[in-house]
Amino acid sequence: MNTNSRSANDITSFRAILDGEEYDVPYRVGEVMLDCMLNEGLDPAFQCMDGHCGTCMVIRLGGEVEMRKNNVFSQRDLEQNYVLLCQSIPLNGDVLVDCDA
Amino acid sequence: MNQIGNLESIWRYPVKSMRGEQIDDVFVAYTGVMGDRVYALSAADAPPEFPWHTNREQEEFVLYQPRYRNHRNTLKPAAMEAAFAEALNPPYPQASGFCENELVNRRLLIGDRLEIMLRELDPRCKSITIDPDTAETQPRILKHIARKHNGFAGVYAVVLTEGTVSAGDEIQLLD
Repeated sequence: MNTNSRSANDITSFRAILDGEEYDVPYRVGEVMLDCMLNEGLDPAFQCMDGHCGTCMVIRLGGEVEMRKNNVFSQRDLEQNYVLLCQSIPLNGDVLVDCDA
Repeated sequence: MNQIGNLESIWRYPVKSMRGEQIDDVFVAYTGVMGDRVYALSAADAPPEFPWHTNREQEEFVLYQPRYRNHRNTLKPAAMEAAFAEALNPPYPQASGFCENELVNRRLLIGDRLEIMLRELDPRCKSITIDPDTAETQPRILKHIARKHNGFAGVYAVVLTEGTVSAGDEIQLLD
């Protein structure tokens, strides 16, 4: 948790790299990043949408996110900055994730 | 019957999430491959619906190679030949990558006795991204499976007639 982060209401978007392209994805308060990307018509890999399978694991390259739950990651995954799109909420406006990792 | 292939290799996993072992032949019972997934580790902090500690939380699990102390006795039940001689099971009827997906709800004969029916596709998780030799992960494997194959790789089957199978056995499509 980044204590210097702005309130979630101030965050309007995050960036995501998918299939070699970088997208600016509108963020709607209360939604997880996966839903935001799907609402934009993007096609990130996902399956269970419940934090179990690990399909939507992406690397956080910038910014801070909070994961609602995690039933799949090892400590190594967390240290390598993997996050689950289906459980993550951006905590500041600088979030960049790499979905091609 | 229609031969659709041969059994290329046989693998079993004595401890869930640890490295598997390749074996030449094994008895397949109604409960599955003999000696497969007999053991697992439970985690006190795991959710009750899935209490196991797996290689998802600790990738290095796949670097552990479990071995049965008496390997031979874990491949076929004792007195199996005698049991089969008196078995009441009826004899079987005389009757592309991911190609197994097309065989759900169909029966296969493997070797001269084992009969299975493929029942459902297997939804995969992070475990298939872990290299069993290095414990390194490649999330792209699972993402490809999700985007190109709806998240499924492999099939679950039920055993209709128990039997021993060996690497190289013919696989026949029964119906």
